[in-house]
This record gives sequence, structure tokens and C-alpha cells, in this order.
Amino acid sequence: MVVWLWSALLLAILTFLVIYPTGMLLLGTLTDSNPVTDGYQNMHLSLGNFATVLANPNVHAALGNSLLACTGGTVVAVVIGLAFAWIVVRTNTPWKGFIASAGMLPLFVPPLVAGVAWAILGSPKTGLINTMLARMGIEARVNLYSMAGIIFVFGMYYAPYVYMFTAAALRNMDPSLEEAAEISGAGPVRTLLTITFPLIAPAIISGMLLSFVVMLGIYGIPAVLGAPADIPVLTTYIFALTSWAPPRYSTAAAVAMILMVVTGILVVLQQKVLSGRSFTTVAGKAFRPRSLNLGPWRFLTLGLAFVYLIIVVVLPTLALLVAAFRKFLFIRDFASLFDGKQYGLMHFQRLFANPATVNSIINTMKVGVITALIGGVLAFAIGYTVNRTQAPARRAIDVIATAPVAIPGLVIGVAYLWAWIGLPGGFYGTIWILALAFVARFLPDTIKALSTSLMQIHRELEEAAWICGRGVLSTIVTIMLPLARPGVVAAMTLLFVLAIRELGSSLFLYSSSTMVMAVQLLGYYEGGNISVTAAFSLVQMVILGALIGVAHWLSRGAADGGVGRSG
Amino acid sequence: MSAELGVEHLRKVFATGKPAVDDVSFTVQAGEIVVLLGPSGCGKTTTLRCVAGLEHPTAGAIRIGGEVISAPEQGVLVPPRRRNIGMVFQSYAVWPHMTVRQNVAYPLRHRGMTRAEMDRKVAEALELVDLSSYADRAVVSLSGGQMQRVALARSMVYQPRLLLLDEPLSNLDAQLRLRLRDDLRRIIKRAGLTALYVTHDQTEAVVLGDRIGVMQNGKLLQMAPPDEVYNRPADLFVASFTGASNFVAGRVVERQGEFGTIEAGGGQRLTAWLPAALAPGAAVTIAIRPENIRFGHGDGANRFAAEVLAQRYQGVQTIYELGLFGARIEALEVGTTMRHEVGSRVDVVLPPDSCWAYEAGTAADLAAD
Amino acid sequence: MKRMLMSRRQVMASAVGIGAAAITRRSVAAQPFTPSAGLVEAARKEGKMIYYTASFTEVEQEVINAFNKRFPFVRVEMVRASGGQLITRVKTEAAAGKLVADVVDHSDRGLMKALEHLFQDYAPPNASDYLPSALVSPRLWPRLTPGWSIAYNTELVKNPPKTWMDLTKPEYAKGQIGQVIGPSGGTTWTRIMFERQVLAEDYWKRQAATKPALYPSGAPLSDALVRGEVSIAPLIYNAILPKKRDGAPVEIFFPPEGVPIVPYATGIPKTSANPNAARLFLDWSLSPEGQAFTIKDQGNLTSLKEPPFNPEGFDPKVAKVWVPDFKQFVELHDKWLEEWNTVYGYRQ
Ligand SMILES: Nc1ncnc2c1ncn2[C@@H]1O[C@H](COP(=O)(O)OP(=O)(O)OP(=O)(O)O)[C@@H](O)[C@H]1O
Ligand SMILES: [Mg+2]
Repeated sequence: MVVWLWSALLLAILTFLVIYPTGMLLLGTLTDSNPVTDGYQNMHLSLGNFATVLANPNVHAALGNSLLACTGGTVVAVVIGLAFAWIVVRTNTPWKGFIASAGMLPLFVPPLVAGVAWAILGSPKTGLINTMLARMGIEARVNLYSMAGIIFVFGMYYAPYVYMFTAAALRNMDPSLEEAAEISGAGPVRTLLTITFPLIAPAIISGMLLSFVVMLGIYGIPAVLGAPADIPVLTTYIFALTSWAPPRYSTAAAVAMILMVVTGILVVLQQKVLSGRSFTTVAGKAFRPRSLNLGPWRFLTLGLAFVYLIIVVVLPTLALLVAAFRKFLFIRDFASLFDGKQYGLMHFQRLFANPATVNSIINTMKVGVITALIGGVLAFAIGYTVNRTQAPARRAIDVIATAPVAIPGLVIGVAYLWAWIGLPGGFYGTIWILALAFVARFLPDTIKALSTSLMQIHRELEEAAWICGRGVLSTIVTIMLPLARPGVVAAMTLLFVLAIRELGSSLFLYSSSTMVMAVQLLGYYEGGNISVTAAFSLVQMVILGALIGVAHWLSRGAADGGVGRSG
Repeated sequence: MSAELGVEHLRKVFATGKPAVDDVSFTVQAGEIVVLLGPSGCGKTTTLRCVAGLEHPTAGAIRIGGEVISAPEQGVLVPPRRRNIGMVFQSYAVWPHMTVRQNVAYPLRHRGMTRAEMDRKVAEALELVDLSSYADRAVVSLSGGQMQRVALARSMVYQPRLLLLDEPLSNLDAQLRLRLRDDLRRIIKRAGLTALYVTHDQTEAVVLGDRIGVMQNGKLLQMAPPDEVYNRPADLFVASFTGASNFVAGRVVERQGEFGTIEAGGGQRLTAWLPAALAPGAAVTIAIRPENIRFGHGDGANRFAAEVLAQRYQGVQTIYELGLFGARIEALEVGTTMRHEVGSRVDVVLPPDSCWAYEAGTAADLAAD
Repeated sequence: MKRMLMSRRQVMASAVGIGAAAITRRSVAAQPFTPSAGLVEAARKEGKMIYYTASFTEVEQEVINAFNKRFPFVRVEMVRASGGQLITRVKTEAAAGKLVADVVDHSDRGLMKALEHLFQDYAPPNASDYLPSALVSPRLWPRLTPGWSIAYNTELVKNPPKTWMDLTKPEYAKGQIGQVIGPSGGTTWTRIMFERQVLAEDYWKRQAATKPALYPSGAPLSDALVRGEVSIAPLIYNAILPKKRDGAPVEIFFPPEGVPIVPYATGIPKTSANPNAARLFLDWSLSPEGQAFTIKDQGNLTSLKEPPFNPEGFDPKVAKVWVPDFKQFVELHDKWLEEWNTVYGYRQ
């Protein structure tokens, strides 16, 4: 009886958060009117709109570009993320704690900021890298305003997703599984390929899927790097459709549907691949982490890690610093880069002269905390119900909770706006509509992050507690939560970071009093001032860094695994 | 094939300071099973892992079949995969993403073997551990004992020179443990392997081992056949760890060959086996196993009368607490009936061969699990 | 074709009207704005207003700052969105009965005209001073009237263009020129109408042949020009003037063939919760004082019959302003934009 009520409650919450807005989106696809503004009675349902969109060659181009960019980006991300996880968890590379923390930094960088920073660095005409190359007398020039540029930046910035999943899995893997292979006569490479990677395959696939899907939904990077080369991807195309005058929302919704279908196929594929495999590797016995002695090779791995850090952290930060402190970003030649007269605080003064800046920071913090708390609790409830109980309808709960993965933020924004603005009560225009949209939007990511750690906890540990006479609730509190704590902390931190950076869905849900940082940043970018944008980007990065530091400090008692936490 | 293992002055110090293995030397003859026995944390696993090459020793040499595989002073360190040894882990470490057959066949891959040969060896190994009918099952669908046997088959399939086993039975239930314990010895012997086996379970050690090495605090205290370990423990710790739970303080009065006369508490004298180092006048502790105290009138030395202070009935045996030498001494009598009332006086015999005197020790030395 | 010519004539007529006004009154100083005490009191009581705009954040923040210098007691909360998104937001909120804006400010008069019913009757005290051609509805007013100019990076361009037609020259080919995409909003639509109706029927084709780099809106283009990503760009004057004033290596000029101007449509929704603050804000914005501010400090033009100023660098004797015919502005929109997209190879 209680379980039925519980399932019904979860389903009700999910209906409100996911099904209802998705339904509104579907309605939007099948009509050429906006159901809210034009009224439901004037709506004529037809497949015509959808068919037109499907036949549109521009849609094909955007879809093709999206798939290409995300596939390429995912390949790069997996290679880097896996290598990173292995270096940090499994080798005696020096300073790996530092490497691990610094390697997570790209997660805190909003995509728009990454795009802007790399535009400053890699523009074919004015990029700092090219200025540098010219100075060194090298003929070659880089051009990041290209598909290769998008793939490169995608791969670099989304590698931490793969890292997070695989590092946790590696850390939770019984090292004797690898030792057994070594004893059996396998060399390190063979062990890696035949034992380690297959064993953490679920984590690799999860990380891969997550990063692919996240890339599919990213606007900032392709917007900045793709626009000058006229490379539309689905997100920039959708954004363009909604920002043209007059906006073409039903076309945008139809394109979004395509995106959802693509992602849906991927999700199903992933589950097919994973089904029938149980990879519970955390045994009842604790084991010592094991690290491979690389000998002198450890300096090579250290070097590789540093190259990565320079590319994702140092160079973009330098670019942003130059942009934020330099009066104009016109750099005649290398020497003028060091002309002290060109630098000052004017962009920061301008930034903070605008009261909206500080307001947006405060609002963002509020939304982030609310999202992380509600989202963390809801995700734990769903993850536990799905993975650990026989509650009725848990398959349905799982499927519905995973659905938002397939909806890009931009479209979720529209869907939620349509869905929620009509509800009674002053919901629209408050911070809660943003927080709930984020909760729904990132539910799959949070659940996935949590499930990995839930799945890896042996059932017996929990059953042991039941046998000790504990109730389900008390078992969760005394056994599951502490054991899954690294996962829960990591998931909540992830959620917080995602919420703080989220642009797409905020764009349609913010109001004058609930303006958030991401929207404000886009405002500055669209306002055409790269320097103020860079200044605000730096401010955001500092704020995020400080918050992560605090979260890290708060969770220092917890086992490893938190975002930004060392190996 | 199976080869002799030689360990000389092995030392392993972890970053944490105190040596985990401290100057340990022993040999395992080809085809012999040696068991390392000792309380938790005494360095058994570390010794084993040094032999496997999974830990890098701080000092000392390790030889297999005469070949030096590890000698840090000479800069020799053969990686585990080239040592040609097999290992069974406590956590089974069977690979969950493979079937039983794939697990067992894994070590044979890349050994320049034909398919047919490989199949034959896998079949043989599975036959040996009685898992032939499970060959194509996923390992995750097996029971704990079956997984353990997969791990065993996997470690033996390539006829390693040496088999290492780290508490392979500790994750199993008691009954299975009993059965597998006997199977294990039979299988290893049938395969003719040299084996080094780590456990903290005495009975396991006795049943399995040709010789037993007792370790404490990183030191190897004694290595001898089981009956010697039980009948001539090298020191108070070994005696106590193997079950001699009665301790009597005393002083050496005089020596007669291997034995000596000891004056114990209450002025009573008894004859006990006396290690050569102890001279008259030395303070000693005498260790006596409860099983070795006999009730009734005997002849020869060490006959005493004692009062029964308490009794603990255990079904097939009864433990009596006796007042003797001004202390409480436990004695064990086999049989399903209790023969001695509490408060009654009984005659007991302590055979001199079963009373072992050691240099007087403190309680801390005796701390055993 | 015949209709085409007709319309061009009409358009030129109205353009001359504005230009002439600019010539005669260029030296008239702005009288200070004096609102009624009742309005000020009522606005003070409301204490705030919500301002929806499609103009740029930074430009509008300056307007708000200037307004607050006079009336510090009205807190202005700004919501900035691109043209299309702003319209959707207004429509959606209105449909749900939750339109919270007190003032809506948009560059596309056509889209605003279609929403006329959402706005209340409002006219500023100086209503009669405004050009009838800039008005599309008695409820919507041209708070802002930006004009088009051409800017170039002085570090990169040694032989600068002098006219609109120069932008078709092959010497500026291969991405030296930056262009804002046609469908970006009302401002750009005005310019491309001008190009085709005034400059040449095939102007787009000739200009597109230089392979210009396309930007989604004017603000990033102005920044790209300063950085040297592009060397030459047609830009709304107010988007580039502040940068030049700050010392950026750019030069700006108003081409002699004409200056397309874009009167905004700004109104107060019926649902406004702070109508008095909104009125005060619009009265001030539309007054000679407010217009003088947008002209002098921001480089805009004005739809006042008698401009209190002309922006720096604008000489009405050299450059004539051009305002599109509103009917055509609405009717030609979809078809011409589609053609523009094809000519410029811009995907839609
Ligand atoms: N990697 C390591 N780093 C630091 N100390 C270690 C490490 N491995 C073992 N030790 C320490 O060395 C000592 C011996 O450990 P070892 O694992 O060999 O014990 P053991 O005899 O196998 O015990 P058990 O029966 O509990 O398995 C212990 O004090 C342990 O804490
Ligand atoms: Mg051990």
C-alpha cells in the first residue's frame, strides 16, 4: 500500500515536471500556431509543419553538423577523460591530486565563456595564438572558426564528464581484478584493454552518452566558433529560429523533436548495451587503492596532464584576462600585447556600474542552491526506487525521469514557459520556475551520477542493515546515504554547477527580478562587448571556483569522488 | 614446471614507517605446500604480494627455481607477468565481464598456443575444479564457492611454477570452507604445484600445509611441519596462537637434559621442556594446552591434585577450570558426559612433554586473535 | 517593377521631409523636461517599473542611468532580449494574463503594430512634435531612432570606402566586410530595404559577391570590427560611436546616398502595474531633453520634427535620412528576407 502511494507520488511529480511540458512541446510541433498566445481553440493539429521541417535542407545541414561535432567531440572527450582518469587514479604520477582538481575546472566554465575565450585565442585573423605564431616566424595559422575548432573545444571541455564517471568506477574497482590479469601474464596495456576498460564500460558509456547529449544541447561554443564560418548546429539553428523577427517557434519545436529522437535512440542503445551486465564491483571488503609505478614514464604522464591543463585552463584564462583588462582587443602585433598603457580596470567598472550584474549573481546563487537541494533529494528518491526496490511502475519512473536528457535546454525553456505560465498562482516570474526547470532538466544527469554509485554498493551491505532490524528508511539513512555519500555530494555539486551555468532554459523563464548570470552574460556578449563579457566571465569563474572550494571543504570528510576533488 | 621458492631476508617498509615484513627467510620445496599463518596485520599478504611482484620489496632476495626474480639491492625486479606464477585472491577477482571459460582461458592467450591446445587445457582445468558443466555460464551467475574454483582453475591452467593463495576461503561459508579446504589440497597436490598459502585460520593451515610458518609483527617466528608447530612451538607467541591458553609463571630450579624442573606458584614443582637458552634461576612462563591435561592417576612426573572451580559443557567435550599453582588452569576432557562436579578434588597429570617453558613474557606478547 | 518605382518615390519623399527638418533646426537647444508634479508624485509612489527592450543592454543601461539622474526614486528593472524572443515573451505573458512589463520597447514596428491591442492609450506632452511618418499607432512612440552608418578599422583599412556602393567593390572582398544578417530584426530589415529600394535593385547580389562575414546582430559585429576580425561594417551608429569615443581604432561616416533610420515602437501595456512610472519614463525619453541625450551621448537620430541636435559626424547637408514606408515595411518583409537569405547564402 505504502509503495503504491510512493510510486504514485513520484509519478505525479514527474508528470508535472516532465510529461506536461513535453506534451506542450509536442503540441507546438504539430501546429503552426503558438498554443498559449493564439489559444488552444484556434489550434489546428497537422503533421504538415513537421513534414516541411523534415524536408528542409537547412535542417539536414544543422543536424549533420551537430552529429559530426558531437561525435568528434565525444571521441576526443573519451580519449582525454579516460587517460586522465587512469593517470589520476591508477598511476604514481606526481601531483595527481592537483591535476585531478585542476582537470575539473572546465566543468565550471560556462560554454559561452569557453567559446569567447577560444575565439580570442583561435580566430584566424586576430587570434592570440596566430599573433604568437607570427611573432615566432612560423607560417602555420590556426583557425578555430571551423568544424575542427568546435570539435576540439567540445572535446577539451567535456572530457571531465567522462573523467568523473570513469574515475569513480576505476576507484571503486577491486584492484585485484587487474592484478589477476597481470599475474596471468598480461602486460599493462593488455590489462587496460581487456580487463580495466571492459569492466568500467558502463561508466565509459554513461560518460560518453552524457557528454554527447550535453554537447548536443550546448549553444555557446558553436554559436561563437561556428557563426563566423556559417556552421549552424541544431542549437544555434533553434536559437536563430526563436530570435528572428518574427520567431518561428513551431519550426524550432519540430527541430527540437528531431533532436529528441536522436538522443532517444542513443539512450535506448546505451541501455541495450548495458543490459544483462552486472558490474557490482564494490565488495563487502574494503580494499587499498593501487597505483602503477610508472618509473620515469610518470613524468611523461605529468607532462601530458600539464599540456591538457594549459589548453583548457591557462590559455583561455590568459585570453580572458587580456580581454578583460585591455582597453581594446585590437592587437596590432606581439609587442603591443605588453603595452602597459593599454590595460586598466575600465571594463570591470562598467560591469559593476550596472546593478543588474550583482542582482544576477545573487539570483543565480539562490537558484543554484534550491536546484541542488530539491534535485538531489528527488534524484536520490528516484534512483533508489528504481535501482533498489520492487516498487510498482519503477520502469515507467525510470523512463520518464530520463526523458529530459533528450530535450535541449533552449526547447525546455519554451516548453516550460508554455506549460507553466498558465498555471494559477504566481509561479511565473519567480525563482522557483527557474529552479524547477533546472531540476527537471538535469534530473537524468543527477540520477545517472547517483545510480552509478548506488549500483556499485553491494546489496548485501544494505540487506545486512535490514537484517539488523533496521527499517527501509533507517537503512537508507544509516547505510545507503553514507556509502553513497561521495556520489550524492558529487551529484549535488554537479547539479549546482550545471544550474549556475544553465543558459538555454533560463532564456525564456527569467524575468526582470530573476535575471541569472548566464542570461546576463549572453546579454553582454550580444551587446557586443567582448571585454565586459570577458570581465564578467572571470567574475563568474572566480565565484564558481570559490563555491566549489567551499563545497569541497564541507565534504572533506566524505570519501573521494566529489567534483573537483582530488584522486 | 613447479619450482622451489626461496625468500631471503625479505623486508618491506611502507611509507607509513613500521616494517610490514621484517627480515623474513624461508624456502618452499618444489611440490610443497607452505602455509603462512598469523594474526591480522602480521604481514602475510605483504609477503605473498612481494613474491607475486605486486609489491616491491625494500630489501632481500626472492628466487623461483634458482632464478632471482627480486633483489632490490641488485636492481633486479621481474614484473609479475614474467614470473610465471599463479595467484588466487581473497576477493576471487574473477572478471565479471567474461564467462567461466573466458576467465580460465585468459592466461593462455598470447602464449603461442593453438586453439585446440588451449581448449584442452581449459577443459582440463575446469575438470580439475569440477566445473566442466559451467564452462559457458557468466561468472556473475555463479555461487561464491564456484567463483573461487574458477579463480583456482584460472591460476593453474598454465601450470605456473608457483601458486600463491591469499585467504582463498575466507569469504565462504563454514561448511563450504571445510569441503573446499580438503579439495584444495587434493587439487594442488594432484597438479603437483608448489604453493604458498596465506591464512589466519589454524585448522586450515594444519589440514592444508606440508609446513606452517607462523608470523607476527612482520617476523617469521617458526616454520615447521604442523605437528612440530603444535608440539614444539618455537616461542610463547606461537604456543599461544596455536591454542596453548594456560600460562603458569615460575622459576627454573635445575636442568635435566632437554627438560628442567620449574618452581611454580604455590611452591609446587613441575617438569617442563626447557629451551637451551634458559639457565637455572631464570624466570619463565610455562604454556600448557587444555587438551594436554589428563584427568586421573597416571605415573611419572607432574601429578597434581586440583579443585574443580567451574565447568563449561560443550556437548562433545567439557572444559573445567581448575585451581592449580595458585591460578586458574583450563583443562579439557573429551566425551559427552561431565565427570567432575564443581567443588570436587581431582587428580590431574601434566605430561612434561606438553609443558613448555619460555622466557617469562608479558600479556601483550601473548595477544593473539 | 512599376509598383517598385512608385514606392521608392514615396519613400524618398518622406525621407526628404525628415532631412529638411534636420537642416533647419540643427542649432535649437533642448529645453529641460518639466513633468507635472502629480505625475512625479504618483511615479514616486510606485517607485519602480519593468522595462522590456530589444535594444542593447549597455545602451539602455545608460538611458536608465540618465533617467535616474533626474528621477532617482524610480527603480528601472530591465529585461533585454533579442527582437524575436522579446515579442514571444510579450505574447506569451499577455496570453496568460501575466504581462509584467510597464514599458515595451521594440525595433520592429510591424510586429508591435500587430500587438497594438495590448497597449493603453498614451501620448507624450510633445506628441505633436513627432513626424507622422514615424508613427504607426497612437499607442506606440519612437522612443529611439537609430541610424545606419559605415565604420572601418583604421589600423587595417588604408583606402577606406566612402559610399554604400563602395561596399560592392572587389577590393574589399574575402571577408573584410562584416554584415548583420537580414532576419536579425527591424533595424537590419530597414537597411536592406534601403539597399534594394534606394541603392540598386541588384545591390544585394553585388555586395554578397564580396563574400562578407555574417553576424547575428550589430553588437558583436561592432566588437569584431574593433578587434579587427572584420575591417569594414555597416553599423547602427549608436553601436560603434561609444567605442570610437573610448579610443578604439575606428572611423565612422554617414554615406551620402542616405542614412536609413529605424524609429522604434514603444508603448505602455494595459496591464502595467506602474503606469505612472512608465509614463514619466516615456515622457522624459520622448521629451527634447531625453531625445537630446540619446542623440548627443549615444549617437542616435530622432523622429522629432525639429531635432534639438544632430549626432556628432552627421551632416544633414551631406547625408539624407531615409525612413521606410510602413506598409511596405510590413508587406515585403517575408518575401524579401527570403530572397536576401538566398542571395547571401544564409541558411534558414
Ligand atoms: N600499501 C600499504 N601501505 C601502507 N601500509 C600497508 C600497505 N599494505 C600493508 N600495509 C601494512 O602492513 C601490515 C601488514 O599488512 P598485510 O596486509 O600483509 O597483513 P595480513 O597479515 O595479510 O593481515 P590480514 O590477515 O588482515 O589480511 C599492516 O600493518 C598493514 O597496515
Ligand atoms: Mg591479508
